[in-house]
Amino acid sequence: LKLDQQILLKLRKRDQSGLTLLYENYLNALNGIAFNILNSKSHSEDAIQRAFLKIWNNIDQYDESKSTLFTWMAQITRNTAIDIKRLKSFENENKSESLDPSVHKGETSQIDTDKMDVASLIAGMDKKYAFVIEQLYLKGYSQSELSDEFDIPLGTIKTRVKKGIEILRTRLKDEKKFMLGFLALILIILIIF
Amino acid sequence: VTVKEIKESGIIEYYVLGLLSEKEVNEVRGYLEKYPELQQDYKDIQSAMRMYAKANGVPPRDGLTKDITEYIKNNSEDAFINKKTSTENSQSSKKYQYL
Repeated sequence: LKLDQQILLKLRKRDQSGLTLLYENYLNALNGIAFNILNSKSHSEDAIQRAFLKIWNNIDQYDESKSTLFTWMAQITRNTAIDIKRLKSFENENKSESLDPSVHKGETSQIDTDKMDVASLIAGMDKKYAFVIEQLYLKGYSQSELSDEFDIPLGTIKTRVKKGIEILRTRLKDEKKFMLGFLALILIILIIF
Repeated sequence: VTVKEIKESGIIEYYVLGLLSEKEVNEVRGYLEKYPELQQDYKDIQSAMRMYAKANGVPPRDGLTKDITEYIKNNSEDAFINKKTSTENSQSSKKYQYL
């Protein structure tokens, strides 16, 4: 969290190096959200640029006591991407032109290598939990859209989201424990030698 | 509403996921202010989702960061700080790297 404070301080001073820190730490994750929602490189780049402009312009309205910096930025990115998606699907409906399928193919195969981390993160998680979180958090679905399209009752969606996030929280705690254990081990080795 | 009921309802999870209506958002903000014991839960859920988003991250193409900065420069309501200060800052960040 010290990092977030450092970023905030710089952004509020209108210091460009605050942006660099944002890119280094959060761009991949935010880009992932935009890309998952829009499924197109050019559209997600458009979304990311707009989202970063909003972050830059509205940084004084961000309230640290209300949410973490990432939650705030993720919501801006998500909403921006969803707006673009609605606009594009409206345009496409009117043009009745489909997107170039070859472009899509290339993009999908590129992400697969990054899915490794996710695989271990959600390993052992019931697929139905992983599915609702992915659709709602990454793909930009609303609860009612998800419910209608996949015929899952709203209450069931809520229960699955909660259980899935509980599993993620446990993973996070395990990881912290592992890191602490690892540091302790190094310390012991240093003391012995 | 009790703290237990709020925790079990899953409304904080939905809040972090950005799935609530404005009315519900205000409801959750009220709960978080009223019950400090919810803060740890709220914090953990946010950390879990950040970890999830990072795991699902997609690396941007080369040069995108430059383009974003340029886009902000061209469209932002206020300018970046002057050059002198930014060189000072880049020096201090270099120092930081060596530490």
